[in-house]
Amino acid sequence: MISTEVTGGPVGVKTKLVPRRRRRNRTTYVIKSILLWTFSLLFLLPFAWMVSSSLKRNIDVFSIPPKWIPNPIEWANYVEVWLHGDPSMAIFFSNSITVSLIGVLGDLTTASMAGYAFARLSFAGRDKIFLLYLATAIVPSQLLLIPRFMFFQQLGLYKTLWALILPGIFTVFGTFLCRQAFLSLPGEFGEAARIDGAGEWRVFFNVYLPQIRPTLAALGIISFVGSWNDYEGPLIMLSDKELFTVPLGLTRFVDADGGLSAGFAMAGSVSSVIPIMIIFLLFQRQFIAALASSGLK
Amino acid sequence: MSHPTSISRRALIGGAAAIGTATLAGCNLAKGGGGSGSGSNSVSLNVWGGVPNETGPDDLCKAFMAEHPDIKVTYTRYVNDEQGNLKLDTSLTGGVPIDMYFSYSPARLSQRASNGLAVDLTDKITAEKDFSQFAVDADPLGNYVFDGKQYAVPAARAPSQVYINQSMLDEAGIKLGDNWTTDEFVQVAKELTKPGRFGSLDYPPQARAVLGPDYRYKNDGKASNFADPWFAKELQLAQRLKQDKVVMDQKTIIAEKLQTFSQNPYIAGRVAMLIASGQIIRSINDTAQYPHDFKTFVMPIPSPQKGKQGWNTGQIGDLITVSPKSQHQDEAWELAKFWVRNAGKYMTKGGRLPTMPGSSTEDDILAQLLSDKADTLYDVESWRRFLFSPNLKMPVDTIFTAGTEIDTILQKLNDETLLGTRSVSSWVQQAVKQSDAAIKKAGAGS
Amino acid sequence: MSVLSGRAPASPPGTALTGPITPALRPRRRSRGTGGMSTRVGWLFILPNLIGFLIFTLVPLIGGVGISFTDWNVISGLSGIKWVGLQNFAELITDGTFWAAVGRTVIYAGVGVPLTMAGGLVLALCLNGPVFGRAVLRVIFFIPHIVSSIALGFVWLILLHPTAGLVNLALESLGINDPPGWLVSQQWSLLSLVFITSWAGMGFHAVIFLSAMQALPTELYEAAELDGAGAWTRFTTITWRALMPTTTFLFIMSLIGHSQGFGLIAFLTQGGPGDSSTTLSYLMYQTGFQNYRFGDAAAMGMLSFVGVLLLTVFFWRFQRGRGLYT
Repeated sequence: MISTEVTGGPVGVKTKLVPRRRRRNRTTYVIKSILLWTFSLLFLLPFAWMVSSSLKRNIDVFSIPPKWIPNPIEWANYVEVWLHGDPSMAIFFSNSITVSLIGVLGDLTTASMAGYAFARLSFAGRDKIFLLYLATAIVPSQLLLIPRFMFFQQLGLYKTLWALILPGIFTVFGTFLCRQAFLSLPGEFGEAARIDGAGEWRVFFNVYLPQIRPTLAALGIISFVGSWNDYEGPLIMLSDKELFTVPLGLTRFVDADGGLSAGFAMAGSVSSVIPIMIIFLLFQRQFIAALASSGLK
Repeated sequence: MSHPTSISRRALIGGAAAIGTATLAGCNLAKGGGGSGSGSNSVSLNVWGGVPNETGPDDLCKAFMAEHPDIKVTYTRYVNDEQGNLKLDTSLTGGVPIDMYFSYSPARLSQRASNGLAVDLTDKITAEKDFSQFAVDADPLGNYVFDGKQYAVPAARAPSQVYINQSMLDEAGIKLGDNWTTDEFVQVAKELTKPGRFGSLDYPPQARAVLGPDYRYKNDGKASNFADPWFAKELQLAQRLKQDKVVMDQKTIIAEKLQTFSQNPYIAGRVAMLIASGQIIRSINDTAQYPHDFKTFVMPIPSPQKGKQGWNTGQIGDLITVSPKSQHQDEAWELAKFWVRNAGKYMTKGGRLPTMPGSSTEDDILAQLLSDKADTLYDVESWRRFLFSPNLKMPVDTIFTAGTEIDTILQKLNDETLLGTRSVSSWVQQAVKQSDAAIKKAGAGS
Repeated sequence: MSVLSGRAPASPPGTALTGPITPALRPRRRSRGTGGMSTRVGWLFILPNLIGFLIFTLVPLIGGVGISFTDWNVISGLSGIKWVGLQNFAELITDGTFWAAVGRTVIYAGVGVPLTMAGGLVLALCLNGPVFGRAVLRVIFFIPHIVSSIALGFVWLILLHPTAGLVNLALESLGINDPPGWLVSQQWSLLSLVFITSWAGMGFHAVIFLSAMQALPTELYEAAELDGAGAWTRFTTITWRALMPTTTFLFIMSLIGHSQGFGLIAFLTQGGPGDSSTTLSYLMYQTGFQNYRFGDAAAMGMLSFVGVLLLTVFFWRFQRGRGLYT
């Protein structure tokens, strides 16, 4: 299956392989496609339910048996979400974008550097520090919530977007992920470059970093999704409505008794998922581009 | 805060009262002068509450500021869930400027008060003539008292009531008065039960209705009271009604999260009756999101003992507290009083029934609560009878030892018992055992 | 790169398991080694992340660990912290509720982690090859990771509804008369949650596996294919071994996720019915966030930390030397 992606290799050998394989590949292709698409329905359901609920009246949202096609269709839910409320969704979006973008770019930078050092450089104290990193990842995050809140208040970061951005820039997860990606590359790459006289920074930036582009893309997506959907962080750190991110802004549709205006909430959720899907599709291109370029090398 | 940092902390605390009065006097002068409050003199109050801004608080704060041009009120909404309350607590202890805040359960208020996060309001409440119903010695008690002191003033009451689909009543030819017993409730529920429809979503509460305040405790809170026969009676009836399919089965209730979204089956006509507090009214009023074509008749919680009026199972709420760390405690108290007296005018349309009518008449409150379509959505007279009945007794608890732990214990045991996997006698045994342990632990801890 | 592809064809196909790879691997201990690198360079690379890590993670963490030795309810403020030493731990160790929750967590993670990982790996393998609408499929499998947990929760409430749910309607049509109540049944609630959590995490795992697969040098596969290695051999000799660092990573992440995850539990079952789905993390949430016994909650957190740490170290040792280049 992977072989069809391969473009290099001796031409003669390849053409010899193709005719016998093609028929079998065609059948596997069809079977695999059918199976995967069937299975994917199970994963499409929550999104389908969200979209359908976002167009329903509240009473229809939780009706049993569920109605998948809204009747009547309530476009008004989207109007309510986007045009009403003070401040409007647009403000929440711009806050979320600020937090997520700065966080992702920062995370990619610091995590790739640290991950590289942990995987490919050797220096005194490295393994001890890495162990510390790993150990902190294991500590339940709920344990950190209150100390972090109190500490951030001391630092004066509480009530600012920095309280959300800064922790997102220095993640153990990203470092760990990058380290593992660098580990799966052969060490010979760097040695060759070093023999050619490249400095450490160039070895990292020009030789190793491009190799883990798919991982960086994955990290970018995951880090973006994580900070875009984060509810607990903003809930604990922010109180000024003008600074709310999207998930916190959606609490407008939860009343004081815990009830939920589900149609509105879902219209808001659908609106908030769309940017992520766009980002994901864009990064898909990155995946494929990275694959293509490494294949052409 | 706009205070110059040169003023020492002690001077601020000590002189808070003086400054407060001065600014209040100043504010009256400013009002006379007609100018808007000047920046340096104005006081800024920060209020934290769980009710969304646009459903009343913003309007109320605006009205307050119009009366007090030198006070600027900022209402911050916190989400009234576990994390949201945690945030309020950490903010209060951590020195985030909060002058006045709301608690929505007496257990939380009790916790906050006993940890020094609430100003003692006992004397202030006594000093207000129209607040007599909230005073320490009021009978029946209309406010929470902890060791003879009061730390909050309630702005709302949330009685529980039985919502009844009037079309179904008419169809069955049932006429209801203004009161009933548990047996009558059961009888009506049976008559309203049809294929595909339950007579009621909920079983009738009995222990709370009979035992009233502090029904979960005995010996002044040193032990739990679950061995009282009323608890077993309530659950036995519940089990029977669920078996007979008169009351909705527990599986469906859990599976559809109907403890939280109980309005749906009622408005959709899957059940004829529903026992809940006032939040259902907002859904009934919202005919765009919850279209329906029947009127809602209301009845009080049925009395378990014939001829003896039971306690309501709701509670008083929207408990307003002044923070001891506030530098403007007097202004905060001004706002608290204003809030209680004007809640009827600004908060009722959000479904919050005021503790004090203020300038609002019964008709005003009914009109606000039941919306301008009241005549098509409700049997208004039944609502008037219920809401303003002198018989409506709200239990005001005074003991909260291990309250949240006991909630958790009961939720689990109730689920099992109502699902039919635990017997009532085992419920009693376990509820007593586990709650006593929790009470003991909480007592040892403090 | 040329080093690898140049040498590989020389190996006989029969020894594919070790054949084509060993020559490239021989210098691996050295390749990770010093090469004249100074400690200073290493630290410079780590520094930006390390500083942030120390400030934003380690300091709060020390605070959190400290809480586990105290009796504290947050509301009492910093002055209300009472040092109790090991008392919280001593009480937990004799607490039946705690151990019951530990047992449930073991089931939850013991079934959930392998299921999530296997699902993710299979999805990644499928999505790495040619499939109709591959780019769209990748997004679809990732959906549970991006949509709101309310949506996830409600879809499963609907699907697993005891009487009106698709799952039970299907079972009934197959002649099963009394299908389980799933989320509302004491016997099935935990397993239902395991399944739902795995379903929700699979796409995430697939994305990470995919990214690692795509970073693999394609020459390896060319070489192996020229050697006549079949798909399965290629998987076991190249993919699986090259993915070892990623697998380790995902295993640890999944273990952490299962030992800490409570969002879906809180929404779907709230630990019930009864306490049939009260895992350690949910018990901790209840103890801390609902009952405000933060000292006890932190102590539970610490014990769960030790458990996961032991497992991690064990797995770490196990995988060491089994990867391609590590």
